Amino acid sequence: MKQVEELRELKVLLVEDNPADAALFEETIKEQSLGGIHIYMSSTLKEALDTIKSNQIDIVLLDLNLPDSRGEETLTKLLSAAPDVPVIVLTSTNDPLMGQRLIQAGAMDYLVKGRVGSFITNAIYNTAARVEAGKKIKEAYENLRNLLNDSQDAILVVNSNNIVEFANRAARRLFGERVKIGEQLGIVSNEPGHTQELDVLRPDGTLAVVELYIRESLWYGEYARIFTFRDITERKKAEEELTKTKDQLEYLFTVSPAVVYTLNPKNLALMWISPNLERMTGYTIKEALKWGWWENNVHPEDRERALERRKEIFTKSHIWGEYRFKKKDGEYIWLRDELRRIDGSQGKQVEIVGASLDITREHQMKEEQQELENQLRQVQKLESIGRLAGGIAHDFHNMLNVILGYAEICLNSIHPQDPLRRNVEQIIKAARRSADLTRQLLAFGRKQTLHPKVVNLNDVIRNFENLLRRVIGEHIDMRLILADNLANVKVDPGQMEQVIMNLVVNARDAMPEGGKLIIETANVELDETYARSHPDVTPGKYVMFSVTDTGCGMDKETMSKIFEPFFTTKEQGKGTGLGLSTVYGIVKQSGGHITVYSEVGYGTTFKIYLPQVEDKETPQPESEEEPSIIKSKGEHILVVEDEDMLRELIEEILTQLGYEVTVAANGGEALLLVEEKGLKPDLVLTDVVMPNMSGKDLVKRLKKSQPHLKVLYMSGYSDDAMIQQGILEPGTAFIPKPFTLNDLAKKVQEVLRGGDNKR
Amino acid sequence: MSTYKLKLYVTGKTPRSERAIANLRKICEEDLGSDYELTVIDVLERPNLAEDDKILATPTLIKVLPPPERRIIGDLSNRKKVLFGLDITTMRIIERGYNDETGGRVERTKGLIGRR
Ligand SMILES: Nc1ncnc2c1ncn2[C@@H]1O[C@H](COP(=O)(O)OP(=O)(O)OP(=O)(O)O)[C@@H](O)[C@H]1O
Ligand SMILES: [Mg+2]
Repeated sequence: MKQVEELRELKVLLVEDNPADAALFEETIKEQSLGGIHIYMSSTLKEALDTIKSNQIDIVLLDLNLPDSRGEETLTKLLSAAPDVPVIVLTSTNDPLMGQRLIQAGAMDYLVKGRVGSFITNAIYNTAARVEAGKKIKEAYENLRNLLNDSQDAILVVNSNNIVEFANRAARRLFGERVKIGEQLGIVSNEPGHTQELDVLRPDGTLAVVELYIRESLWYGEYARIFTFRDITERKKAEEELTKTKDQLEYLFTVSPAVVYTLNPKNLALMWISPNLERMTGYTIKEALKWGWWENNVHPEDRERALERRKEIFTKSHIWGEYRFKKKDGEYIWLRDELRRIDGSQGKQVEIVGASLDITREHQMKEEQQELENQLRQVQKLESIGRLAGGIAHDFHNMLNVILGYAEICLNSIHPQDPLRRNVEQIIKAARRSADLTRQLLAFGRKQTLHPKVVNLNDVIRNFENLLRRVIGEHIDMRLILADNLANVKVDPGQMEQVIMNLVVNARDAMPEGGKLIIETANVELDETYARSHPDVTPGKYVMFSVTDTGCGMDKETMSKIFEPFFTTKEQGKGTGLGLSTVYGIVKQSGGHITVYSEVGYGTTFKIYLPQVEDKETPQPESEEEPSIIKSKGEHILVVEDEDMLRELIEEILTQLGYEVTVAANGGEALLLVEEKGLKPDLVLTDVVMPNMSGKDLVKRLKKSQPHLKVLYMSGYSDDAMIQQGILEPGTAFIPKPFTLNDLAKKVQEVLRGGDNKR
Repeated sequence: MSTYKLKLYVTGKTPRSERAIANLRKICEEDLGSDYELTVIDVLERPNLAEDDKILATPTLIKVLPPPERRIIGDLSNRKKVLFGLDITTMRIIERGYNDETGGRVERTKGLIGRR
């Protein structure tokens, strides 16, 4: 193809008015080109222009002096009429300056006539080649312009005078009228190559963000700078959107209550953790990412479990666990941790994502709740044991009464020198001892008769101090720390002494090697919060007294059982395990509350809280005049008791004391005797609780016919219990079972001598 | 009258606009003392001014005085380039020891002064 093209016949126009010259030139060219050049001839400029127009002339050989034009003007005239045609000028003078001018005016070459010779064909071929090359360059730039026009980037070419030479389509779109070919460009930058981010206001008023790249180059052989603007509006928007999302996420992570993290799916090492970590634990992210950070801060007791739990994520897709975690300040918090394995699908990697929540507060609440339930259970347990023990003790006591009573009667009727006397005395002693034990059980079951008085506990303790010192011995240093203005309480002082004694004896037993024993009193207030965590407490003002020792202390296991009757850690014969049961019963029956603090190896504190009473109730003096036993004047007593043995015993005792006794086994029988048989007793001694008709109902009926009848109730239950349940009115004469002969004698006398029924 | 009269064209409150304003204020304060007059022009508010100055893209900084007029585009974050680009006395920069990381300070300075 190329060969064929090169061999194309060249059309050369020879413009020459001198026929001899023309012939010579034609001959030479024809000869040298071997017919490859076709020659047209013109002798005037006008003719030449016509020929150029009608035949596609490749090259013109131009003589400057023609009939219709002379000199250098001939060239300019021709070129202005046919600007695209290459011209070789034929001159007659050899003037290099003129030659230069001709080239500047647009001639491709010039030849001096007479010297042309063989050069002419060469010059034609040279010019043809140069024209061809020029065409190629033009084509190349044409292609370049097309390419630049197709580019999405806006491209401007600016020459060394900052004049715009070229603007591609994208540039015209981006800048509109602001960029015009041939005009100055409003951007000057000394820094080629530098990339800048710029704002551009598009002709339609919308905003674009562009990146500018400036390159120095040549443009049609001249120095030029090429400005390339790349529209990055969308990318920027996406970037800004991304940072916004990122900021938002970061914000969420800092305010969120949960700490979020990811773990390496292979070894569960922490890979990323949210910044709110610091607020939760005090650790920075950098610290957290150190190897072993998590493991080392999980509570040692929870560590193994938590670690095992975590490993389950290898087989399960979702796990959770709770454990204690050490904060940077050393404090532990409870964490609830959840892990999720996100399985890699579609080429995604397996990920383990976790979240930790601080649940310390919930845990505390749960623990408090549990503690409360434990206490409640403890109280309920003691309550039910108490009821059981009380019930048994009650029956037991009645039996003991019978034994004691008959034994005493027996003793009274035996001659002082009779050797049997000693045996009977042993029976009485054993029975008394048994009665003591059952009394303690009764106390625990709160079935004991209390005689509450308004007292000041400081006085009770001081009166009792000497006895206590004797009991504890020399090796223990006992101290009293008694509050100055201790409020009064309403308790049975005797029972309180028993409480103090039991506690002190226990303290002594806990300190066989000696130690300190402190008895303290104080006014305290137990508030709502305290009451909420101690189910048996009503909020209010209390008097607290505590017994503290520096003894062996107790472990939790022991502590949970100490109030149970017969629980003892002491060797057989040393303790019955009733001491604290009694204390518990008495305190509860007095409306009080008891707590224990103990540390193995350090000691124990028992605290007892008793409700304060109003100031106006002043302590009553302890002394109570003992009524002396006066033999009966033969008064008539009606005894109503459903239990046969006891009834017979009472009959026996009262008869011995010189009373006239009538017995009835129940209320109905008694009524029959009085209302039908006209019996007129001075005193009715009746059991309170009986089948069919209660003692109280009986008395009510009897008083209808005999309003001045004197009444003495007896019962195995305490008078307090009876009064509380509305069975007896306060102030009613009452004798608790069991009673001794003396007890009964005194009480009966008291009631008979009293003008009315008040104690 | 101030020695330096500067115009800074920006477009609204884009990050580039704000960066350029902040950077230029800093350069002016530190390198021009109080010897300058700066006008910040938003092409959205004053499109005519922008057209007169043939503003194609912003930020564009124009040094109006002293002549010749110089223009520099971008967020003006490179203080050295801004000062060089505006033909602002290089001597001042040298006094402040504000030169390149290399030891070629004398060469460069000469070159720059020569170019003015
Ligand atoms: N201050 C104390 N220090 C250590 N342990 C104590 C203390 N007080 C009581 N205990 C424990 O509580 C148990 C029960 O005490 P409690 O007073 O009820 O019975 P006891 O002292 O064993 O026998 P009892 O008091 O009937 O003679 C004791 O055996 C002892 O283990
Ligand atoms: Mg005891």
